[in-house]
Amino acid sequence: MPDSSATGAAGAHVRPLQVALCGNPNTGKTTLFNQWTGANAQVGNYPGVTVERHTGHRQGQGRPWRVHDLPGCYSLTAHSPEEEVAFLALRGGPDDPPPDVAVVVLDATNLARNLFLLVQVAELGVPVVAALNLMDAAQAAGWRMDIAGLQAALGCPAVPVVARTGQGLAALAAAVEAVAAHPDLGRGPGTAWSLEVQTALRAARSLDPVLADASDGVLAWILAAEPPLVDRWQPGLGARAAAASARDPGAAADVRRRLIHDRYRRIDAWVAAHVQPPAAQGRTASDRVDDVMLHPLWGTAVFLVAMTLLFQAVFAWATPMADGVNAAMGWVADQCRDHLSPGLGRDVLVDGVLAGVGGTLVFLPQILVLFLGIALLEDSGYLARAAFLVDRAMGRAGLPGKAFVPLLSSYACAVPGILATRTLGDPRDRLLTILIAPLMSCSARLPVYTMVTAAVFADVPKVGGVLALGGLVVAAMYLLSFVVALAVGAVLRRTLVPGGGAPLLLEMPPYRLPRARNLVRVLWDRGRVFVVETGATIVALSVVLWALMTFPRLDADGQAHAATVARIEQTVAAGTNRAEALAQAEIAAAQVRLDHSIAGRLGHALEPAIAPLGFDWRIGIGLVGSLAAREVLVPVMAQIYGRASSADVDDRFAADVGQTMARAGSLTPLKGLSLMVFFAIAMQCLNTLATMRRETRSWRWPLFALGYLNALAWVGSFAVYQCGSALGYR
Amino acid sequence: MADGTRSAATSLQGHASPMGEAGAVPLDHWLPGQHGSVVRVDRADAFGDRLAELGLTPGAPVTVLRKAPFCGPMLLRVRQFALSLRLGEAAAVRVAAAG
Repeated sequence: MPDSSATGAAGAHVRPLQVALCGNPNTGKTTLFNQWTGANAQVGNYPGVTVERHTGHRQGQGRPWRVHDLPGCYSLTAHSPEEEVAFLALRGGPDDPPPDVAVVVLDATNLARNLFLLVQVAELGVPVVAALNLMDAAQAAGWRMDIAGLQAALGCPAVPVVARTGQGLAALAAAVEAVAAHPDLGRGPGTAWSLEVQTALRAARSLDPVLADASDGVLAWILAAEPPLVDRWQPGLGARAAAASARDPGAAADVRRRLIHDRYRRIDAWVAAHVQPPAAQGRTASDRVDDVMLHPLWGTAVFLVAMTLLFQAVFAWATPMADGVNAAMGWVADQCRDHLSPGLGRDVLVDGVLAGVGGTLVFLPQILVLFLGIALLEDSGYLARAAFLVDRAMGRAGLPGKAFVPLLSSYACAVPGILATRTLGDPRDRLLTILIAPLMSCSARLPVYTMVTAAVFADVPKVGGVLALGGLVVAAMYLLSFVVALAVGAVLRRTLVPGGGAPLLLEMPPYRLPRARNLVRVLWDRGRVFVVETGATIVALSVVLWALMTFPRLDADGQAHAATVARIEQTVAAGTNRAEALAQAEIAAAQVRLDHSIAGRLGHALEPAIAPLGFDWRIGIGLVGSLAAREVLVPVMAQIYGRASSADVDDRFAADVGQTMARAGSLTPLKGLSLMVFFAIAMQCLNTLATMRRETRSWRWPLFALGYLNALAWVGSFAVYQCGSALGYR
Repeated sequence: MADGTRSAATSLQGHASPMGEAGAVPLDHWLPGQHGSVVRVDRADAFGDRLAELGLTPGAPVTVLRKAPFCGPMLLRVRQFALSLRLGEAAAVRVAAAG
C-alpha cells in the first residue's frame, strides 16, 4: 500500500495528497476522474460489498495525488452500499486515511439536489472543493451563475469546469492544492439547524460520551444514518443511538426529515440568490426526444429494436471472436502436446489449466460486446428509459425494470448476464436476478437439444404437416425455463430475498453522447476483472474436473492398451489400415479410462438416483462431465459410446452422438424429453458458479443455486418420465 | 389505495408546508402537465427520507411529465431533474396545484 509508506525520511517517500471525487450519479464524475488519472488507474473492490473501487495517480504541484473515485450517490445516509462506501471513504478508517480534500462534482444544470451532497460532505469535516461540471450545457440552456457569490455562500472554492473537454480542470486542480495547503479555505458552509434539530442534537449529546464530543455535522449524520453503518464506523454507537431513538420513534423520524428540510432551506436560499434560471424554462431537447422514446407505441418499438440488436450482438456477433479464441487456444494446446513430453504434467497443463484458460477467454468476446452495449445504453441515458418502459411488466415477476437487460443477455449466456446485474442498484434485486439468470435458456443448451431431437424426434411426422416436432419441443423448453424462472422469482421474493423490491426512484438523466474514453475504460476494467478474478476460479474448477475424469489411472488399463497397440503393430500392415486400427484402439482405451475414473464411478453411483428420470449410468457420467459446460455432454457421450470425440460440437456431431445413444436404447422419445427438461432447468455450469461467487463474494449463493436448480430439474424430469411411462409412452 | 392507511403512516405533519392541508392531493392522482409544489411526504421510513433527500421537500416545485401505460411508473420534474416513481410510491407524496 503506497498510503502506509507515507512517512519516511524526507525525500524518500512523499505522502501523496489524498483526493476523493464524489458526486451524484450522472454528473460526469467518472469523466473527470479519467481526465485526471489517464491510464494510471486501478479498479478493485471495497471489502465486503460488490461496489467497485477506482483509484488513480496524478502528478500535482510538488507531490503526487492519489485520486479516489467514490461511487455516485445522492446522500451519505447509507440507504445503499454505494452510500456506505462513500461515507466510510470520506470518514477514513485505520487503514485508509480520510481524504485531504473532497472534490464534489456538481451538475450545474441541477444545482440544488447536487448541493445537498456537498453540504453533507462538508458537515463531516472534510475540506471541500465544488466542481461545477457541465458548465457548457448550463450556459447553453441559459443558466447564469454568480460564482463569487456561490463561493462565499458555500465556504469553499467553486470552479466551473467542462470535464468532457478538460476546460477548467487546471483551475480546479489549483483550488485543490490551495485547500490542501489551507484546509480552512474549504471548510464548507457550516451548519445552521432549526430549533427542533438543535434540541435533538443537545438531547443526543447528553446521552452518550462519544456523542458529546462529536461535531454538529457528524452528530446530524449519526441521527440520520442506518445503525449498522454507524456501528461499522464506531462499534456499539449505532445500537446506542438506535436505542435512544427507539424511545420515541415518531420524534426520531421527525428529526431525520427535519435535517433534510433544513439543508434544503439553505440550499434554496443560495440558489435563489446566486443562480439565475433560464428566462423561458420550456421543454428541453431531452423532453422532446422522450416524446418518442417513452411513447406507448413508438417507445415500445424503439425498445424492441434496441434489445433485439443487443441480443443479436451478444448471441451472434460475438461468435466469430469466440471461435477465434477457441481456435487460438486449440493451437496452443496442440503446440503443448507436440512439444512437451507425454505424461501427467502435460495432461494437467493441456486438459486442465489450458482448458480452464480457454474456458475463461471464450466468454470475453460476449462480455465485452454486452458491456459495450450496456455502456452505450447507460451513458446515452437510454437505459433509464428502457427501465421506465418495462418496469410494470417486470414488476409482475417481482423484478425491477433494470433486470431486463441482464436476463435477456442470459439467453445467450448466464456469465455475461450475471455480470450485467451490476446495473441494478438494490443489492437484493441484484441477488434475485443473479439467482434466476441460470434458468434463462442459454446457447450452451442448444447442442444438447439438437442431440436429443435429431435422434428421437427427427423421423416423427410433422405436426399438422408443417411444424417439426423437434422444433416444437425445443420451443417448449424455452417456455418451460422461463415459466420456472418466474415461479422461482416469486417464491424467492417471499422467502430468501424478501422485500417488495426496491422502490423505482430512477433518475432520468438528459440524453448525452457517450464518451469513447469512458467506454474503453469500462471494457478494460470489466474484461480484466473477469479474466483475473473469475478466471482463477474457472481454471481451478477446470483442473478439478479434469482430475475427476482422469483418476485413478489403472495400470491394468494401460497394459491392456499397450498390448492392443503391440498386437495391431504386429498383425496389421503399416499404412491406412494400421492408423485406423490404432485410432480405434485409442478411442476404446479412452472409453475404458473414463469408465474407471472417479467421474465414471460417480456416474455408476448416480444411477440409482437418476434411474427414475430414465437416465442410465452413461448419462450419469455425461452429467458429471457437462459441469464444464452443458454442451460438453455431447463429446463425453461420444467417448462413453466409443465414438471419435471432438471438442468442436457442431450439429452433425451432436446428431450422430444422439443417434448412437438411441440405437443403444439410452435415448427414447420419453427419455430424451426427460433429459431436455433436466438440462432446461439444472445448474450444470462451473463457469456460472465461478461468476456467481465473484459477483456475490461468497460460495453461499452459488451453492444454493446449484442445490435448488438441480433439485427442481430432478423433480421436473421425474414428473415427465414417470407420468409419461404411466401413460404408456416410452 | 385507502386514504386512511396513508394518513396513519405519517408522523410528519409537524412541519407541513405553510400552505396547510387544504388542496393536498396524492401525487399519483395528477395527470401529465399538472404542476405545483410538494406539501409533504407521507412516509416516515427510509424511502420517505430518500424522496426528501432527492429534493421532494415542502414547497419544492413538481411537474408531471408523463405516465407510462398500463399503470406503469410516472415521470416527474422535481426541482431541476427528471425522476420516475411507481404510482404506489408516488401516492405518499402530497402535492398542491400551482396558482
